[in-house]
Amino acid sequence: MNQIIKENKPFVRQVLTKKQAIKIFTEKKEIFKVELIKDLDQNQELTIYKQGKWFDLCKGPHSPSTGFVGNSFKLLKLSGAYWRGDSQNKMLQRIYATAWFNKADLGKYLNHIEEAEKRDHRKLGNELNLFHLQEEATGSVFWHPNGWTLYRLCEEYMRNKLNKADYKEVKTPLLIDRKLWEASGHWEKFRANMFVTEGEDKKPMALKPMNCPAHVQIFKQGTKSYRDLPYRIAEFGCCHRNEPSGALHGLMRLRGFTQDDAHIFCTEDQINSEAQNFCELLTTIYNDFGFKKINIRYADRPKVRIGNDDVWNQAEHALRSAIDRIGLPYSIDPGEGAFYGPKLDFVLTDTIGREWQCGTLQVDFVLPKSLNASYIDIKGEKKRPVMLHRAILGSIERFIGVLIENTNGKLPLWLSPIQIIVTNITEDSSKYAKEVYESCINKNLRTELDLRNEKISYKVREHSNRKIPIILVVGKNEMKDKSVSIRRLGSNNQEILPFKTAIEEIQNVAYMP
Amino acid sequence: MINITLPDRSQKKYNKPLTGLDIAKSISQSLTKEAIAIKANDNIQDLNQKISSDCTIEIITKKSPEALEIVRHDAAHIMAEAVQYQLKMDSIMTLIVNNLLHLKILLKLRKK
Repeated sequence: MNQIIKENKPFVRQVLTKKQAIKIFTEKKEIFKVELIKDLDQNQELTIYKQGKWFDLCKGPHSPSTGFVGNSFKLLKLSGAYWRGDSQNKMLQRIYATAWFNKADLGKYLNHIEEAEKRDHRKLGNELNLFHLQEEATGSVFWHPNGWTLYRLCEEYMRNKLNKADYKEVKTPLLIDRKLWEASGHWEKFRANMFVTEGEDKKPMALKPMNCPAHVQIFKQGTKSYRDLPYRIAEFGCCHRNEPSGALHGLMRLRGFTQDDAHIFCTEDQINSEAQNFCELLTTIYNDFGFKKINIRYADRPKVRIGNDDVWNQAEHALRSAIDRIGLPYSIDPGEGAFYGPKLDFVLTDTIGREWQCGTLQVDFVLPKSLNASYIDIKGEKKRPVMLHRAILGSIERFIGVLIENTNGKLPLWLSPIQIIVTNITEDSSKYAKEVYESCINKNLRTELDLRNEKISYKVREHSNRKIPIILVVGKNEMKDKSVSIRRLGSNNQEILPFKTAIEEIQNVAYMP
Repeated sequence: MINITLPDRSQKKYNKPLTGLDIAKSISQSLTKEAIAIKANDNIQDLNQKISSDCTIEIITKKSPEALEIVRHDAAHIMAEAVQYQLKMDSIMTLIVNNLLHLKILLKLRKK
């Protein structure tokens, strides 16, 4: 490659007809490319780019010559890839490489990917024994005891926050009749991503890919009046989407996942205060999970849309003034809103600078109408509510993936599946170790006892590798003084404290915020 | 007459179709040296492609946000040639997919 770059060969663009292109690539025996060209329109013009004698089919554009590439590139890895992503086809080799303008940028990028690989949630998930994935359930998670503890902690934390924010939790069916998906429009737009089956009565049913139509069914039970609005219902909704296997990626992209989904049915006038409350709730929650940097992307009306301009004006104004008032930074994606309403997307930045879109708030004028939801207004007239779709974590599984990578597996104390290990130095302090362990358990601290007859340095190292936040070591002296020696993850110091003081200190930070 | 609008809104008039390189030359020598491609009405094209109607242009240099992607694409072609040369294959397939950070080349390898 360096030689080709040094020769500084000009890139020369040449236009061909489809027929010419088929001929030259057939001569070159590039059967796959011939297949691609044959799929193109008869009259489509094709271009090839030459560098010296070598050429390839390419739309361009290119720099004037090969010298522009410079020497800051690096080959990274190889992998197999099926032709056109289809496992029925031949396996090809894919070469990954990266190119930059200078060595400094290249170095920075290489460090970044190295750091990202070290904290890959799939690797850490395995090392910390949190979960696994296997071929027999492609795209769904097998949660192990510690991973499931973490999952339940996230869910429980969210449940508390939602309760306080006056949401009511519901649960809706996983399998829902095709008729409802047709009425909601999902059958037409989302069919390819839905898992479909049928009952013994041959009725087609689909695993829900989203919870919204089901939540509208709950809203529609009984007559709703303006006094019932805003009507907020939340669900830890288990959804399934038939993603192509090549797109799946650990917990980040699954086929079966759980949304912290909620819908708010309200009037146009209530959009603003609901949006503001939502943004405040979301900020508190992200901060509790350790994310300080939040960016908002505000997307307004697209060209093709439903609803009149007055309604759009009001909804857009409501969203924008809400984010203005809470003072979070935002950028504008003009025309990128959904056809059914404007939206806010919330993006987290992790400790190594990567961005993760997790939260969303979308105004929807359409679904209440297509599913015929209504309320009685103050004059006794039937009105359409507006629906707000909103999620904070997005998918709980994916959020846990982000959490693991953000913390490099060193979860904050309140989220650690095992918060404390109690371990003894010698056999004779085992009784005291048990006492310490039991008082921790009685205080609802997630604790494990390690009385193995191993060297204390060995035990401490092992639990540190498991990223256990607190290790309480007890020996003869501690037994005598009713004290413990505390070792905190990431610190080489140990502190000897009366057990009573130690446990109070731990309790102050160990519980769910 | 072709009217070319530059990023600073100033206009240049040319009496016949010309290339991006011609435009760069008429602006400055350093720009000519640094030029990688040209954006004409939001469409990025090679410097030696002709421009024959009025448009707003911007010369793409290393500093432009679009530049890295173009150069990565160049690098992908160079990698493809190098692989083909090194491995002396008689049947090879290179398909270059550019995403932001990687170059990917698919190769069908069949030894002679």
